[in-house]
Amino acid sequence: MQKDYILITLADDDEDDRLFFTDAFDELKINTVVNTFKNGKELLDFLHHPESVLPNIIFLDLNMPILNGIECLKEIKKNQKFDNIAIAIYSTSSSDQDVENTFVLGANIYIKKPSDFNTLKKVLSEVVTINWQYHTSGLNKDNFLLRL
Amino acid sequence: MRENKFKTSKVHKIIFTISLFVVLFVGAVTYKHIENLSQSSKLVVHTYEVNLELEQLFSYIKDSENGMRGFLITRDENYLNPYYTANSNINESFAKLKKLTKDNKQQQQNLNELYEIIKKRLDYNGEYSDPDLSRNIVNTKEFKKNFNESSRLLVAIRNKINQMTEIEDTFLIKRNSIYNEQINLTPILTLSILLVTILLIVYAYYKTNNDLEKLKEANNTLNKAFFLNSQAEILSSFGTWEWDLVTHVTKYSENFYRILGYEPYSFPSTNDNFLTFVHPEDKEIVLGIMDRVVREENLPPSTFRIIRPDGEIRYFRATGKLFLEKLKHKTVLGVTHDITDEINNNKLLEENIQSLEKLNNELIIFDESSRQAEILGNYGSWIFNFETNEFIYSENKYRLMGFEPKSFQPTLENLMDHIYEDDRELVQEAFENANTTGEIPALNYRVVRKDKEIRHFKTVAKSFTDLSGLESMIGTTQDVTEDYHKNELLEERNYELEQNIKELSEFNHVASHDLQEPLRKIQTFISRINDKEKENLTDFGKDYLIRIEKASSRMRILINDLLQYSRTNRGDNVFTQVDLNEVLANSILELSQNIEDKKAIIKYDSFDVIEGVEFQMQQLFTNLISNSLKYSKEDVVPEIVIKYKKVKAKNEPILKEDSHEVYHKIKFTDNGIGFEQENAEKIFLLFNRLHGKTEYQGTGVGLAICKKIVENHNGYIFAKGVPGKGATFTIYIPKYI
Repeated sequence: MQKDYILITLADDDEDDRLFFTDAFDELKINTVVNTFKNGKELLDFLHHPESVLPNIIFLDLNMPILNGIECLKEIKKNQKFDNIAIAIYSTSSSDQDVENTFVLGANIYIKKPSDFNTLKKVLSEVVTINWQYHTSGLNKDNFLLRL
Repeated sequence: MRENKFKTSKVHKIIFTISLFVVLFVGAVTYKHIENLSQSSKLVVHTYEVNLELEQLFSYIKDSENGMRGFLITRDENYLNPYYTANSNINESFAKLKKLTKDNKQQQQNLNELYEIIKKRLDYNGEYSDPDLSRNIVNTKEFKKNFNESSRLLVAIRNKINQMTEIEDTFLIKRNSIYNEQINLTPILTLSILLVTILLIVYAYYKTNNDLEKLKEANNTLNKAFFLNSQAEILSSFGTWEWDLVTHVTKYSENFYRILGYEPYSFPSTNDNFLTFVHPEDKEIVLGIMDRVVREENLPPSTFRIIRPDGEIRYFRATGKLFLEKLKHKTVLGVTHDITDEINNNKLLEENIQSLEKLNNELIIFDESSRQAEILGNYGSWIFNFETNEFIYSENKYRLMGFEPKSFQPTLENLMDHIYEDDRELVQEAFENANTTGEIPALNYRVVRKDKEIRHFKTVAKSFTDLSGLESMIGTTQDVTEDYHKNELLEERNYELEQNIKELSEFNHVASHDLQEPLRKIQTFISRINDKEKENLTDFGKDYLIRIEKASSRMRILINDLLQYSRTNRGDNVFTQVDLNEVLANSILELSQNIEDKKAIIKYDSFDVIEGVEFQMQQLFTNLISNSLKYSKEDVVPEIVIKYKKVKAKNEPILKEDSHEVYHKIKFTDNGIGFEQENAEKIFLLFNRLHGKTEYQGTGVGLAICKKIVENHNGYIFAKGVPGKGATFTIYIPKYI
């Protein structure tokens, strides 16, 4: 099915962050459709649902109740059906350990949540417009963590 | 053997001498006897001669009588002829008799008397011998008277002769009996000589035969001895030799050739030939032996080397002795022993003894040191015999149990008595298991000491088999009571520490994540208001919004600094080679905006590679430079000078370390506001600030982090300040290689 928009999914338990996220995309002049989920389980349920339309990019918060970001990442990477979905880690912390772990598990990019709304918009627009094919092939630990 | 032979020859000599004497004696006796015999036979003949002569005499007298009578009767002168002949015959016979009876006085006397009578008789007859006269007187009275007288004399003569004959007859009888006796003795004597001689011959034959047998036996024994000797020579690798000093011929025993490395009799045995074998350095010794053996009686053995035809060097020991055989026949008899093996063995033995001595010495040292170690280390060792259930304790093992060393004979039973009741089964089991498994792995138990104090013991043991094949168990027991208590305390502390670390890491998490999250949201909301609602606010509201923004951003800095500080706390960072030139370049890059803003000048040396944690060194440099920039004077262009030098600890009095340790010395000097020297140490304390936060932005964490990093690198950091002039931070990082 040919789409003329980018389907974006976010799993984050924090309501404020979900709000910033959707607001940012609203303000961005990019043709996107954003779905948000309160935790990893909800996201996975959606992904596994046969009628769901698979997203282009999934943004994963790490610190979530029920099923956290790492567990969620593992589940997604297990299933070949989701191989074409780009996964962006979207977290408050940027501890070395988290960055390392998610990189090893196969995430495509790591975003530290900015403390400025304009920065957030800039980061999200950057991520959405990345040529994922190209980015993934040249992926390494140095450009994994998105710096602006 | 030799003694026996000698004795035999002596006996021989004695027997021979005795035999000689006996034969001589017997011969002499026989000679004497035969002489006696001939003497007696002569005497018998003599007696007969005397008797015969006497008869002859009487017969002559009768003849003379007859002649006279014939003449007187006939007056024929012819009858006078026999008368005269008879008279001269009487004289002759008488002289003969005189001669014959010379040895017998009695007969001589008788003969003299007879002579007187005969003379008288002849005188009577003589008166009538004249033919002219006698014719007239025959019938005279005187004549008659004379005639009677003459007849009477004749009878007297006759009697005298008979008397003499009788004497001679008695002699004869006597002499005959002697003669007969002697004649009878002769065959006995001869026979006895014969017998004695036969006896001697038989005895001599017996003896000789006997000796011959003995000689044969001796010869046999000698042959055996010779055989044994040659075997002995081979086995003990020695050879014998004879050197005749008269003929200068030398004879070697078979084995003498062998020990020289040759087949027996394969070369002529001469002294000169022998000398060719001798090691050139030892020729003097051998010549010395040859020289001295001729003169000296007892020669001590000399050792020298020879070279065998295959080039092998062997050690020989030789001695000889002058042996005087027959008259002036001088021979040197000698023995040469190949002592190479002996020497080698001796050498080996010596080496063994030396190494044994060394070992023994080491053992003594080891023993003493282990004795001391046992006391210092609070342990004792023991050996357990499975068969007897007995122990051998080291001195300190007794002490550990509260006893004087060697004050009792330790057994498994009395060990059990000393073990704390609850642990007895454990120990008993361990020993039973050890009998099959051959070891006691670290066993902890309690012992009630003689003074009733309960001590914690730890034992390890392993079975071993000694050289004699006896299997026993050797073990070490340590009094670990102090350790046990310390361990208890340590475990407690460890637990507390673990709790603390857990809490700290929880705090870390809270600080890094949970605290940052609300702050980030506050800041995002502020940015939202700034973007969307700023126009709708009054000036008052705008001012407050700015203050909220500032406060929240300060909180962010604080949280970040704190996180950084806690991260530097961790000691598990691995040291790698760190190029300080790169580190400085990165720091300058990181602070480039700041440097540009302040238009600061940074001068620096070239650095060496050091051993350290890269990100920490990065932090250190960044913090120090940013510190200098922060406290720069507003009206002066900030200038930061970074100097580098390798130094020795003893040349840096500030280190108070008199060693040759090499340090990397890095000095940061700035021309900023400086500080009072009295605050030099205070500035490194956490959250300690010398200035109000409105004057200079800062959390008071930066320098504390610097100190922490330097200490993590086992180094030193010193601050020196002059107010209004500037500050200097000096860092010493040890050089490891």
